[in-house]
Amino acid sequence: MTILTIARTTFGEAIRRKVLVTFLAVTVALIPISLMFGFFSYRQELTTIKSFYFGMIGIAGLLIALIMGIQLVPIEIERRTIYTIHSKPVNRYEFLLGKFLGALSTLLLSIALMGVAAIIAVTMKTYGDELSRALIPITEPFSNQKLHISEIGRGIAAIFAGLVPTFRQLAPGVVLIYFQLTMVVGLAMFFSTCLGAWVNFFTTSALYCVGSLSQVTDSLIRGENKSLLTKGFAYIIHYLVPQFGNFHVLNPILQPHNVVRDLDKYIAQNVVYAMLVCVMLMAFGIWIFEKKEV
Amino acid sequence: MAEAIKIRNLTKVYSNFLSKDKVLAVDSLNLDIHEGEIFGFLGPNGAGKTTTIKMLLGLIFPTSGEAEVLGKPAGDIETKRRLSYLPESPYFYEYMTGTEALEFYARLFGMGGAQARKKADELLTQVGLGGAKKKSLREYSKGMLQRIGIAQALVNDPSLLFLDEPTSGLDPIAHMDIRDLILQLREQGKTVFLSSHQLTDVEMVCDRVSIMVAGKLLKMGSLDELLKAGATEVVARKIGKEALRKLRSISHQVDEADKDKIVCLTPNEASQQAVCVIVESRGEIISVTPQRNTLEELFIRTVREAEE
Ligand SMILES: Nc1ncnc2c1ncn2[C@@H]1O[C@H](COP(=O)(O)OP(=O)(O)OP(=O)(O)O)[C@@H](O)[C@H]1O
Ligand SMILES: [Mg+2]
Repeated sequence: MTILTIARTTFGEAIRRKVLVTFLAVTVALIPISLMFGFFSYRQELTTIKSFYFGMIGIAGLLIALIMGIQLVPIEIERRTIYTIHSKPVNRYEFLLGKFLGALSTLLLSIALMGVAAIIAVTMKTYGDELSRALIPITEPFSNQKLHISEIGRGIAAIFAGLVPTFRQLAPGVVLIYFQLTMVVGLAMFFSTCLGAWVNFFTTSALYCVGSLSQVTDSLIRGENKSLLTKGFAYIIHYLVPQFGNFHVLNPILQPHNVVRDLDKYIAQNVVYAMLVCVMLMAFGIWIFEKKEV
Repeated sequence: MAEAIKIRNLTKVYSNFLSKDKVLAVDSLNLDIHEGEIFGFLGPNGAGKTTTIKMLLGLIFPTSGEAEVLGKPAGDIETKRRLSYLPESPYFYEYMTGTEALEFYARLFGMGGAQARKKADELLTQVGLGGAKKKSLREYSKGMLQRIGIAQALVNDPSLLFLDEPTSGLDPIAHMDIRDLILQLREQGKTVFLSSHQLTDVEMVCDRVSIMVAGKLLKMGSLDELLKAGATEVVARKIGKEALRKLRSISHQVDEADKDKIVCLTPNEASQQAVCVIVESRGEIISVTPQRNTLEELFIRTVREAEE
């Protein structure tokens, strides 16, 4: 109950922040605009577009996750809003978890908005030919083709029909991005209980980069002809740093050689992994925060 | 009498691991606050008042010593249902409206939507913000925010209130309202731990006061005890020469206010004698008043002495 009240307040505050809203609006708008301005040549590989969008959502989401994870708790201490909260029957852990859940919901909304924009854009790109042909009389007024309402209708129907297969194609990647970023929020929020904002920013970013190489560390561990030292080092990194890399798998450009055989299973495994990492990070964070002077 | 707060050897040292300097903010504090009293917690800036309150609430932790609040160790969560805290210059979520802010605080006590809203409306009216409840706190003036602070301290109908400078930034009317509120709280049997620099307020509402300087408690007691001066003022008329001579010999000071009237300041033990002298000489007594220091005098004297 208390956790939900805090979470709701956090979410409410986040979506009223002009910086976040503007940033999201711009990113969401950029997604279809990038298509219009011929960011991609007419018949460019769909994989490139997919990768581009995954990258864009990933980077924008990473920024949002980092900023929220780093700021949410320290800012309450700095603004001293925490005094009136902790003098009420609110446990430290309830506060921290509330902030975390608030951040996760804000992140969910952001990723969902960008994901929906990407799905719509890709659908238009893939299934829009019929509609654009039907619209030629408008787009090219001097062609002597006639406007047929039925053709336009069929074009629109084609696009709607295309939404489902496009959703199937993009959604798994977007889901993985979201769960990857929940770990970023967790990591940054954990560090925010004991580190200053900038140190936290660099530490979390560095760990994100290292963790993004989880496929590399994995192959180092499995490698036959590696020295024990290398293996040990890779082992430590692989299991100590969250394996962010596993969540890039569906990005065809970052991970060209990876073929996931059972996609549902792979996603389920990674979602569970991300949740476990978050639980652990929050447990450590609470442990520190309980003793923190505010 | 039951104790609302028990403080034993409470000490707080602020240390910063980047620089070596340490601040001894509270130094072996011992203090008992009785249930149902209004306790004035005084001291100059930086004396350690806020630090003490924060330790009692479990916002920060003592370096040594201990404290009990409403029978439980300081910081206990269940106890927090029965107490409240108005921080000095309180801060809130600025994007919220007055109603939203108070609803939020009500929810932290487990009140549901409708109940929380009702409580919020009630409190806003009580602190005179009924007209501004739909405005966001960003647009509130300092005094209006202070009133929100007071309202949030009443949300749970607490039996113990920690008020850290509750009247700062308030206009004279609101100031008076707060004084009345505190007196009202006393009538309801609540305990108030009041830290304030408004000594006239403190003098008007508090049962007992303490003065802390540089982390140490230097004075503690009821206002009567602390402010009792060693002298009595006797005002009389129609005093003859002989009587005047006698009065001079037993008083600190005798002023002839006008031809007829005298004002003499005698030690308390001698006041009876002075009255006798006047009555015997057929003088006319106008008033006999035990002298009382003002709290301000006591405060300044205590701080000066500590500085020396
Ligand atoms: N977080 C902190 N870190 C280091 N020193 C602190 C901290 N908070 C307070 N102090 C120091 O502790 C001492 C007591 O401060 P405190 O805020 O308790 O004073 P106060 O009696 O409330 O004063 P005021 O009347 O100005 O509100 C001061 O010397 C102050 O500088
Ligand atoms: Mg203070």
